[in-house]
Amino acid sequence: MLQKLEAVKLDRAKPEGNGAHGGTSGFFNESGKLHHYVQRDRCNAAANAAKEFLLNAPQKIDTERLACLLEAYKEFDDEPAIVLRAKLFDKLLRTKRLFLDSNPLAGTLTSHPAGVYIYPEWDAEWILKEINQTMMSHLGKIDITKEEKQLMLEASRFFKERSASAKAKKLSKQLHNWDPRPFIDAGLFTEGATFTKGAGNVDYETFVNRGLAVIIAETDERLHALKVTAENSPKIDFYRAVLITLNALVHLARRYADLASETALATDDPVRKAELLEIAEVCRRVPEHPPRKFREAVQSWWFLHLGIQIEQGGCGSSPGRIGQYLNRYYLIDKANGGSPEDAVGWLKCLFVKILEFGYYQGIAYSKILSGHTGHTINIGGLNARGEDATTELDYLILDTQIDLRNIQPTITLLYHDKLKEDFLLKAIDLERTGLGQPQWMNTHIITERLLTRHAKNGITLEDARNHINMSCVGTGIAGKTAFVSENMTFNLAKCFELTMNDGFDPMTKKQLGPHTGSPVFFSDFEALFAAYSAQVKHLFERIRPYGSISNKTLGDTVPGAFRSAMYGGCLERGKDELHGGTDYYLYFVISTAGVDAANALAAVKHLVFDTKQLSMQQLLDALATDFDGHEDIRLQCLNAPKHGNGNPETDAIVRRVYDDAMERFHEVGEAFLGEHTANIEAYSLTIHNYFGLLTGTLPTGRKKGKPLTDASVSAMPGTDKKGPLALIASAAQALDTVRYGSNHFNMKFHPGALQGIRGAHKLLALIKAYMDLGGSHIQFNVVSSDTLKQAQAIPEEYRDLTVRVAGFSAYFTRLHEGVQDELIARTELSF
Amino acid sequence: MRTKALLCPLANSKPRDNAHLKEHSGIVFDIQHFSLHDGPGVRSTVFLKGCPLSCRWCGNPESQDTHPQLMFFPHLCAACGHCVETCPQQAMSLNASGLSFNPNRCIACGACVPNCLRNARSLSGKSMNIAEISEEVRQHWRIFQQSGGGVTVSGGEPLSQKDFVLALLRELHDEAGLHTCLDTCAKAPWPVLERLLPHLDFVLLDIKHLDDAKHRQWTGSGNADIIHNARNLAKSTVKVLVRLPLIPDFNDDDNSLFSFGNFLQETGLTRIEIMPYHTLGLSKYKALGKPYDLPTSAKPRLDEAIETFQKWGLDVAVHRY
Repeated sequence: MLQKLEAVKLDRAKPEGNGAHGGTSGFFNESGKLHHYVQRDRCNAAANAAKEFLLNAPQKIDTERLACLLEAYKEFDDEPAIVLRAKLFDKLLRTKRLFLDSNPLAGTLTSHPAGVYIYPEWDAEWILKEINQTMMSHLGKIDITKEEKQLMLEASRFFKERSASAKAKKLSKQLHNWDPRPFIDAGLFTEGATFTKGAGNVDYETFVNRGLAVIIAETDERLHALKVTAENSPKIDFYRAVLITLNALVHLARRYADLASETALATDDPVRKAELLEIAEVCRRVPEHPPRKFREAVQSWWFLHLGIQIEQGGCGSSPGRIGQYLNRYYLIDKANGGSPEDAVGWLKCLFVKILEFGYYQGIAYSKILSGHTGHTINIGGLNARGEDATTELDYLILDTQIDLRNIQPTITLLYHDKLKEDFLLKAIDLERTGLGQPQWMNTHIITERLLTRHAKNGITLEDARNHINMSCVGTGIAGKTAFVSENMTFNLAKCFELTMNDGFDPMTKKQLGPHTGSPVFFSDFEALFAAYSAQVKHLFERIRPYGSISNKTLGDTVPGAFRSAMYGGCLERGKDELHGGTDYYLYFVISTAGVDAANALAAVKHLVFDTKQLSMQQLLDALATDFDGHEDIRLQCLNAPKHGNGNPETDAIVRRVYDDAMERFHEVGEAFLGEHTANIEAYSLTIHNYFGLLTGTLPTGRKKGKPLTDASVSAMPGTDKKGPLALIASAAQALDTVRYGSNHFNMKFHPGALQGIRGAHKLLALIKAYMDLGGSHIQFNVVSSDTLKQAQAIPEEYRDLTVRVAGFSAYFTRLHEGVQDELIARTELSF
Repeated sequence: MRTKALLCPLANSKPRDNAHLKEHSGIVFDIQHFSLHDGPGVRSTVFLKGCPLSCRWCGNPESQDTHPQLMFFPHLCAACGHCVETCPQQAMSLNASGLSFNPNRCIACGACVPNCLRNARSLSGKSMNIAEISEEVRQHWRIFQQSGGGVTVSGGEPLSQKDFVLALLRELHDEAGLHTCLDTCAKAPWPVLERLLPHLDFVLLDIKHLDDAKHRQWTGSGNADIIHNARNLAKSTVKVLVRLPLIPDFNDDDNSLFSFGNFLQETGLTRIEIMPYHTLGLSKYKALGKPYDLPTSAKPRLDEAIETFQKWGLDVAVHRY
């Protein structure tokens, strides 16, 4: 496997016009290093080989960490949690097996390629339950051996009672006499304590630029300046832990430097030898000292990021505005004869490193996120002075992704009217790949949102402008916002299902909500809505206090000194992220299935109360049987008014559902550490599939167990029949995009709509129209031939799919089958 | 007086009186928003029903007849029988082989459409007045402005509702201030077309063939007035893009292409878009119970057409779908 990665072809690396020296001497410059263009070809080849490998290789659970974890918890069990965790980090970094592959960026998460860690300190229950089932990550099936299984079992037994999640449940029982499990099993919510989370966006800029040596010295000073008092005790422990972790990372870089030097000695190939020696030189320099060129900056960034992932790998670790804070190093290279292509070579090496990341936290989690790792790179946007912040490196990030088409990292474009046309056109080129990138976000809405959200924290306009998408669609201030979830998600469609069953869950056969009465006694729509709202309120009253407990136990059990040190504020305050050290918090919970709840309410209003096509009892009977024997009622439900058609009455119901959730949420006065109010995000990842499995039949026409609507303001599949302009109008107003943390909008597009410069301009006009209407997020699925094939097979789910040809209008599903086949073939050709 | 009006502009503004716009009604079979291929920019296309031609390849057969028509898509039908109950004409019946539909009895009242839960039925063509159309398209004024788009009036043949199209364009162009485009085959007396020009920014001119006999044979009508109108349009100030449906065995032979290129070069209509033959409308023929007699797999000689027109110095585009 490793040999395969090493086998990088060198034929593209021929020196230009330098044959006179013969042999391989033409590869080197006067100082004996590889010419930059030789290194560039090697970067490209290594990146392509790595991508090829990752697309075919299964991920593998690396149990090296588990062995280290068990030892560390025995060895250091007298230390406070934060120091214990720091010593675990140190031990792992000093003992983990290292290897180098053909990628000239050194550093890998685990001891083998495409390895993933598991984290029983957060939750061990799933391991015990699922050890014999197939495990899947975002790159496919995960392989585990018998011995590894044994070690996993040992670790999970050790942490069964010690995990943050187990402790949270125990404390909840003690404080509130409430067990969250039935609510979790019913798909009403998912908790935050059971799994690791990404770091949002730490202050890479400062750490790369200054180097760890200076920061270590400063931290040491801070530690020694403290008087030893009871009050200062947590600070002393925090600084001790930070010093352990920062030194550990410097040591890891040196270990890579040593490995590269040793490997160079054993290598006969003079080109590879020179490459390895330079890797060694770079790893001895960074992240300890400031970089001198782009390559060193990228390596420094990568080590810092690796530190964060090794400490706690999870979804939502955003490189942020990497094309902006690393641009200075690119400019240094350029001034010294480097080319944009060289920088793209290094970016590719970095992107495949990011693609390689994975982690595994059980079946439910992988259904929720599908292994998504949320490494979001932000380009465009405004700087602190309100000027266009786009850099040359931002353009190169687009070039890199157009070439690589990686699912990770993902690109978010921070949209505003000052962006240059050539930059926007390049972004459209990326859309044309069908990758669904970039995501487009509205700079002005985000600024307004952050100014509002952090008014109490004394946010400055400069900070608010320096925002990023720091997870999937969650926004915060670059380098200064910690990413902490109260609970992970809640499910509004399930609240509706409870409403229709007087608080009883037909799926798990338990009374989970309050008795709001049988719907047959609801006299009008207002009575129905009041009952639904009471179910939502009841859910928040249970899960919000539980979220506070979860974060207390996380802070007690798994505080992270390394990532905390890298956030703006923690070193100054002497506190870690989970104890209030970070300047700002994205303290969140994700709302899902709002559109399904709204469509369900709209359908009942239309069918039962307004047109009286059905009695409530008829509808309830049909829902109880999952429409079995009631196909007509299912179709009536499906044909009832739906979100996404620019219909003011339905749009108002969608807005009301979201406004109501926000109000009910804030009626429960929980806050992180008593200070930071949680913010509702609204997006889906693949949670709509997971919750869909647990949600019963809905009067939207959706059957039991089927996926719910994706994103948060998209139309239910196949129900937006009035075209893109009606859809964007409905989507932009579906929720208050300033008060909500996100409005996640996926839009389907036929590739024909993107042809040529005129096609690009038209799409840009659509994006601007949506942003002008107050939309904060949009991404495009350029419809593939697969979608068309699906539409052919299940026409009723794709009734909205239009074929747009000059002077001709038709719905795809109404076309003759042969013609459908022809269009499928054409679509395949256009990619 | 002027100062007063400026200080208090609302004092003088009354709700716009649009009663006269409600008087004019036309038969519309679709309004498509976010049209990307019917003129510049992002557009809304208003499809009017009725056409003096009956081209054998027509992709919108439901557009030919002026009156509303019921379309029935049998492949979506599950023979549930709901339509049978609602039809006042007893045009439908259920039997062992499924639903049978007698188009001769159907009066296109549309009563069965909302009762068809599987959307296998639709009524093509409804009466809309100018106020309704104007209101529907004007909500998109911002994206028209952004993209350099506007409204295209298409068909059918819009000139077949000649008074309605004049009133509609006057409203859209003069009152609503939108960029307007007419998609036409120009089969009408010149004055009918000429009086629209002050209210038009762009014309998509469909010309099928220069040979009158061949034109008559394939479209059911001669082309003398079309050629005449094309020459007149070329002399007018309105921008024109000629669109040629390229149909195998009809107009894709060397002679036809040569004379077509020659004609355009000579009249000065130098922008042409080729619309290659397609059979996307096939299911609509079935839905209307109309026969379709052209071969479905035929491909026109596209490369030859491009080459010939380029030799004539024309600006050639191809509509690829």
